[in-house]
Amino acid sequence: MVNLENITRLEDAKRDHLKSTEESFIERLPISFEMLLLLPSILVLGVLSIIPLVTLLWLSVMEGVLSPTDTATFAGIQNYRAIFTNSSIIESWRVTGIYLFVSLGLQISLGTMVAVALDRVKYIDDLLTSIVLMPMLIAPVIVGFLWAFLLDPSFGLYTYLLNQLGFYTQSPMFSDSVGAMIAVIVMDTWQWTPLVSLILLARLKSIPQGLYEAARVDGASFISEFRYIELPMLQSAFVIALLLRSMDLMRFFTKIFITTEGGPGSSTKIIGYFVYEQTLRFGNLGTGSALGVVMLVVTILMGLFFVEAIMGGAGDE
Amino acid sequence: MLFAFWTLVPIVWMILSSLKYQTGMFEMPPTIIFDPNLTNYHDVLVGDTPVVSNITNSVIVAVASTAVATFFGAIGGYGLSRTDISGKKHLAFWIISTRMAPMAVVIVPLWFLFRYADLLGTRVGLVIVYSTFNVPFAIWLMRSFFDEIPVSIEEAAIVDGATRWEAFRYVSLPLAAPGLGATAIISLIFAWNDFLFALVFTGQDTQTLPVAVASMQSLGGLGWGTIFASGTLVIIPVAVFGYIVRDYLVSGLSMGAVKE
Repeated sequence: MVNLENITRLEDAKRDHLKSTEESFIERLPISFEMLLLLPSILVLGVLSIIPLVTLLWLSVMEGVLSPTDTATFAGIQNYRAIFTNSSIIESWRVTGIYLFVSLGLQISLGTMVAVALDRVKYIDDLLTSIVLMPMLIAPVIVGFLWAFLLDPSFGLYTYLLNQLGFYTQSPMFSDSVGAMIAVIVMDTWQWTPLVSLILLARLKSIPQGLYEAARVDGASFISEFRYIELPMLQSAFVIALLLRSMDLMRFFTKIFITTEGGPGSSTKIIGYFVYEQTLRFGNLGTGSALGVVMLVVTILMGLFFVEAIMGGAGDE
Repeated sequence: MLFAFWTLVPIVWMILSSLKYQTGMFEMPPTIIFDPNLTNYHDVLVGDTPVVSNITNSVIVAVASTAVATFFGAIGGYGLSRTDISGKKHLAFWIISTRMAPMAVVIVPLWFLFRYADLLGTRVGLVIVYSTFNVPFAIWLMRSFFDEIPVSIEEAAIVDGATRWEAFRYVSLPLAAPGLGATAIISLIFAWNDFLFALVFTGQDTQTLPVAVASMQSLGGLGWGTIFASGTLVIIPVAVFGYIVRDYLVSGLSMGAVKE
């Protein structure tokens, strides 16, 4: 007994000693413990984001940075002016707009249907959910190839099926400007509708069952249940899904890179691909960077709304 | 149900096609019942177009960038969750905005800088590039996990004599371990799946698997078999890992906006 007490006392003393040295060390620092842990990340991110940003801004006001003579000159706002005058850039914004608008519309409406359906399925819903989330995990480069193969005019499975149904002509989908846009949108919809569904589904699961029961007692139909219970409850989830998808649609262009390379002509040349092509393919760093800055501003604005939507707590937890 | 079908058909079709001979792939009408063989896998693993070194590159880069991201995610996410400095919201926003920046915006300046730093075509360079999106992602996601752990548990530990560090290391971090695992796996998937960054920032010897797959396209129609065989190789590990973290996946991909 005595022995045990001794040990405890010894350990207490040891811990007190450790604690006092450690604590006094931390206390002597001018910042709090939380900031001490946060600081390395801030430094790393600072290096990773601010240096590239400054470089981007610098490139956006220069001219001829990569020219053979290697003479860069200050161009002022000339590169920015090009954004509003160059017709191919304006065309690219238009294409981006269509791409964003149609993709979002499809993904949100399809996503809502799937979410409501998954919410009502009471059995094998785990299996169905696992299947549904698969496309999100597949590398975009593979998704691009997959759809290029499925839609190939001479040996594509989907082309074949469409032909059987009497819908389709032999013209290759990707070489027609409307067809290519449709294909690009279908690819993204296939891959990312699941995310929209699952975001909405998470929200649906949080609706108390009692609401449905009460509605049913009042004789509500399936449609009015959806209209008056699910739709209003989903509002904040819609905002989150919309913003997330818009930012990603602006962010990525791998599938377009693999399948259409922006073509035919510039019919699927969304702004992200345009910037890539201008800078790394044509070496036109000035215009590309200026456009990049504008893109960044647009995404940051979307991001602000996004963070406001999840942190500002518009009806959310 | 119909949607599950729409989701599955392309994936199944790809895997089936990867098991066909060249001639069988292009048959019209398409054949579903056929004699499966592993020629294409043989080609990509030991044959004419080996991708083994690409797989190695992919694994090295993905694991390294995940380690970096997870480390900063753990400490940074905790710090961000617990700090109460003014402007916390701005700080949080700045962190996540670095993750949301369009790829083109990140690629251009980094490519320019790496040209001078001799980092183009190196694995280190690619790890740095991946960190630009995985580190903020990890911090942001870990923050949402730490937010769920009540501060009172740590306070209880401190009352019992633990230091702040011990409270973090031995109380909160273990509680956030599932979240940490999910963060790591999702970062791993991001890095593993990336194509564009890898295309711009790797050279002949450092090509990752997705870049190698894309380069098979230039072989023309003959490339499809190997594309799908290696494509299946890209998908398998992701499917396994994705299944492990399926409960956290939506939370992760929506950057913590959705909790399940």
